[in-house]
Amino acid sequence: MQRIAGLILALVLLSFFTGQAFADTTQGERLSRTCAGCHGTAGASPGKLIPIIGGQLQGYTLKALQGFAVESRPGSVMLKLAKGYSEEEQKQIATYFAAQPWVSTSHAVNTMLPADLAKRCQGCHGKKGKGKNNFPRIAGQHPEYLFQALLEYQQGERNDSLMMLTRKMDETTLQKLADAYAAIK
Amino acid sequence: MKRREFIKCSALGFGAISLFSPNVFASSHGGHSSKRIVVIGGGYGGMTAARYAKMIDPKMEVILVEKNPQFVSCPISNWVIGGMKKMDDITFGYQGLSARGIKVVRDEILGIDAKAGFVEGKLGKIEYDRLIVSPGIGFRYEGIDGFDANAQKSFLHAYKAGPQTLQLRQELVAMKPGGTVLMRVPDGFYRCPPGPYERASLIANYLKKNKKGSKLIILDPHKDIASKGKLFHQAWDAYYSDIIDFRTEEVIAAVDSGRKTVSTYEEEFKPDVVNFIPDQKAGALAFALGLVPKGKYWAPVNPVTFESTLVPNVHVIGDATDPKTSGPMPKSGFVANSMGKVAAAAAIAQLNGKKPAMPSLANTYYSMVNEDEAIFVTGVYKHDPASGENIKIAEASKTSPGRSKLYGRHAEDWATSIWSDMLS
Repeated sequence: MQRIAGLILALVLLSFFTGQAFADTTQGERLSRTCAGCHGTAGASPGKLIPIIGGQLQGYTLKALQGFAVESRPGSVMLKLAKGYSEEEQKQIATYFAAQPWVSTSHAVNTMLPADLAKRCQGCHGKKGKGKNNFPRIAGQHPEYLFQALLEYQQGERNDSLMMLTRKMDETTLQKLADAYAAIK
Repeated sequence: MKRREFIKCSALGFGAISLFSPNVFASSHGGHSSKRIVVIGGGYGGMTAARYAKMIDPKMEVILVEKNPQFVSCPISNWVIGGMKKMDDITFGYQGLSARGIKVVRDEILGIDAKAGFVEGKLGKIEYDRLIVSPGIGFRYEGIDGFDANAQKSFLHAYKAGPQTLQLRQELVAMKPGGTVLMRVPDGFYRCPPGPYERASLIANYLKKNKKGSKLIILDPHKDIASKGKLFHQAWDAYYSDIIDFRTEEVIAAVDSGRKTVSTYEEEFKPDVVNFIPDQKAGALAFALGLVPKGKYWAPVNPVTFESTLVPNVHVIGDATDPKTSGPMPKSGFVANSMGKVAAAAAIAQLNGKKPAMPSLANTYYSMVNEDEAIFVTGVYKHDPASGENIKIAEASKTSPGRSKLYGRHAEDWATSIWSDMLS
């Protein structure tokens, strides 16, 4: 019995070492491939206003998809597209993107994050802006997208009690925040 | 040629499009050791299929055959015609794919031996284990008097991006103010339903700003605008009411390339610039490979794998597919890109003895209505096992509530994104 087990183990190990065989695709990956049209391959969006979603936290992406589907979160095409996927499929998509490498924006300008502002953001977004749980990674996101999002919070178009602090900030401050977090790799 | 050697070759030939290994044209089926997927057609569908095939199974040998030296994108070509972009902005090379180890071959494929498993081009035979074909479109001139070879050259369609795109742009620039532009919208299934209307919007925008007093006459066979009608009408009423003369249910009877006239059964038009977009069919390659039934215009496919229903081991993707078999997805670059991924995954699954997965398909069309504002329409599609067809998910397939500058910026980002998803 042990010899058979040993043989099976050897064969399994052998299959790992004889080069990467074609692996079955998960449903999440399959569904997420169409997203690349706007969000880039594996969610590494090369644009400015379409966000990087590859490597974004699963909890946040799922929250975003759910919000789009019921239109509680502002959006454009996502308000329609998100409705095309069931709750289970949305979970699979969010899980797939969370597992992808985060590729930071290529058009950030080196901007220092003022300590007093950083203190107010890092509680939820982490010291380096990498996010946690349902709070998104913002480090390395496109500065244009970040600014647009902050503006939407400031104007009350996006509703989240935790982002109310933007209501008292002017556009210059919002731009500074966006630029600073975009510049963190 | 070993993979390592090939990459060295492509580094030397950086920028050169034609990189082929003599082994590509090897004779015996046993000549190549790993399995081989051949993709014909280096456009939205074909490039995506080749790129994803290599990404999904790095050990797969992937060959992309394309007859043109460069790729010119039809999406965004309307922006060139409207003066917002230049040809350089929409023209690309294939080096990104070469760098991934995909063998890019410049040749024109003329025939197939499906039993023996090879296609034949001007340069020789290429064997395949699975073939993915993305033929694009061809034009139909039947039923219109006078559409001979001369007329076909002089009446620009500019509906396959390339030299005609630039030519149409130049004709508009050269036109005297107060002149007339005539556009003909195609009937039947055609590439990019909103395409002609985006083009009309951008031409009108150019005329408004640069050629005062000019008119754009649109001869449309449909009862109304074929896609995003309400949104286009809103923009036209707001911006181009004294420029666009939109005529519906117009059937073209004849053209005269000598006198440069276009005639319906009621009226003869003698415009300064003509953009005649003919009715369409699958690209010539689809017919050459026996993928279109006799007397028909489009290639029927299996809706899950996009395999041809006529020729085994061959997948057909993109505009050439018959919507009566592939599903309600419109003919668009986004959809061709979606189909490319499905076909690549299906081909690989089949070569590995696995069951192909269900297709995941989507679409988003952005149409600019001027240099800043855009409108959009979305689509999500899935396979319905009960009917055996691909169906549209209605709640996810809608038009934008209006037009906006934000959508215009998204449109620009979309192009950047999808190009990176195909070319890099």
